[in-house]
Amino acid sequence: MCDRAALLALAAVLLAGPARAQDRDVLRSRIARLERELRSAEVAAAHADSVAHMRDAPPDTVRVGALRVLAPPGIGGEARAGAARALALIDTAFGTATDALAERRFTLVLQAAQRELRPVPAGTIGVLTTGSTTDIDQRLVWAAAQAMASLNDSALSTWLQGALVPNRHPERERRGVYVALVTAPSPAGQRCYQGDLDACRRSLGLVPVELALDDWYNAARRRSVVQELQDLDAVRAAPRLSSACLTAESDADCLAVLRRVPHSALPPPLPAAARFSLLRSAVELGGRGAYTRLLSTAGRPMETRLAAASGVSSDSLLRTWRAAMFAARPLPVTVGPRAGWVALAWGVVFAFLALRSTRWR
Amino acid sequence: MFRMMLYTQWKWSRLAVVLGAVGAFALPVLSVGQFGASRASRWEVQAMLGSIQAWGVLYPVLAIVLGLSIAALAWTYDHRGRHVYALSLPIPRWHYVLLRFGAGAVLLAGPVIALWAGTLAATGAATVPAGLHAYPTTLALRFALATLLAYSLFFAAASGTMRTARYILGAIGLIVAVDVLSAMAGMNLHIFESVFLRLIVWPGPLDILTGRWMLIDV
Repeated sequence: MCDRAALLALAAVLLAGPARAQDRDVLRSRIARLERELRSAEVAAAHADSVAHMRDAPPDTVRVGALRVLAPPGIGGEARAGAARALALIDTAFGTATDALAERRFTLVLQAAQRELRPVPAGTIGVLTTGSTTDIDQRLVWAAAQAMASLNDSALSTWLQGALVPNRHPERERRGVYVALVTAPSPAGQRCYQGDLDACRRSLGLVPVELALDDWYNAARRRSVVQELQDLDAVRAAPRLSSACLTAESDADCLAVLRRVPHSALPPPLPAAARFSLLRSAVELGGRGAYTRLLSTAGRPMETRLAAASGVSSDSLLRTWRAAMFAARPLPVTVGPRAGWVALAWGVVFAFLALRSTRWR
Repeated sequence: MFRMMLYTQWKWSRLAVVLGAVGAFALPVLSVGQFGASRASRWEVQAMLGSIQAWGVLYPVLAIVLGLSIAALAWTYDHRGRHVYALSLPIPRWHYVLLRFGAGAVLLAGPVIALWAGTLAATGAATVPAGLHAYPTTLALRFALATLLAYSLFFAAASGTMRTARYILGAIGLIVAVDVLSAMAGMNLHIFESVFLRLIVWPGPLDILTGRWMLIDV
């Protein structure tokens, strides 16, 4: 009996030992897991604090030349780099007039935070961005162009038909204008293409519309314009004239209808890009002070203002503009030597692949 | 031997070559239909250019179809005969492939010359308004290069085994599958698009097929 009790006690001791050891291991692993959980909770809490701090923190103010940009915390570097690139481009278009932007402040708003969109600070211009340097650059250029357009007098705004947006690739715009010059349904545009500078003036809107209207469209185009503008009050108010224009194809009546239409409603013979490109040519000729001179000559005829901005006569300006359009002429179906050799080389590569086909090995 | 090879390939591909030549001649002629009108006024130039551009899409399509047809027909009878004829000839395999390739390339000259003749005839008959220019020779040269390139590509593909074809198709399928799965997971990898752009944009091999194919342009 005693022996049996002793054996039982020994068995209990032997069994209890590993069990206790097992408990300790389990406990240790639980403690380690809890410590890990605690650490990850601390990291998450720190991140949440950081996000909350960033959201509530005041924006960074970035000053680059005349540009003042309020950037959300965390993208100050990108904002500075983007603003610097934007300013360099803006300066090429507006020169010294860019100083006017010092009166404006641009607030960058991250698209990621759009759901929590809060009103931008009063007196600033909101600029929605992804936060990358390139995007900030592009958005700031666009916003600055709109801000500069708001400084334009009404005559300049009406003539320009939009905001002059600084362009890194003016040759693309000129290419489009060249195609328009070649294909535009306008006698003035056609003669401008052939080198008649007076026709260029007419097609670019530098001559009062009432004097140039006869030259803007031909008879067929006049009819189609009347057709397009049929819903205008000025056209509806002259049913007999518009009917004679459209049904009897009376060109004199078409012209009479068009003379009643507000000038701003008449589609110009060349696209707005033509006027932008002319202004860009004037700024290129006139240097950094060109746009300032353009603004300072408000009240004078547009041709005089452009000549003043460019610092050359209007004839020289138009000649330069026209030469730039021709220089940007698109290159159609070209097969340059390089492209030809590359195509041939690829042909040889594919032929060599056929020689090396696994079928032959 | 080359003449024999050329003759047999001509017999196999003559229908494709003749149809291709007729199409190549007709394409530029049809594309300038509006320009051929005696009263092509300046007001219609925009529409004419639009028409020329719309027809222009067919030049690379024709080049691809011609290249594919001639390349596939060059190998059809070899594949059908399990290449016994090629293996029985006392010439190295590369020499045989070169002869096949050369014969096909020579046959492509027919449609290319037909296109050149078509462009010359079309531009000669058309009234090209001031400011626009005709580019018959450049267009024909470009068509020749595009056809040769398409032919080389399909010739290489057709010379391969079924296993090679399966690998190529499998690789394309894998890329598409990865794109689809990544899109479903919210990550837009656009691998297929990226690979495709590398193929068709300079200096990619298919760059010659893209761009403007305008017989008459500014």
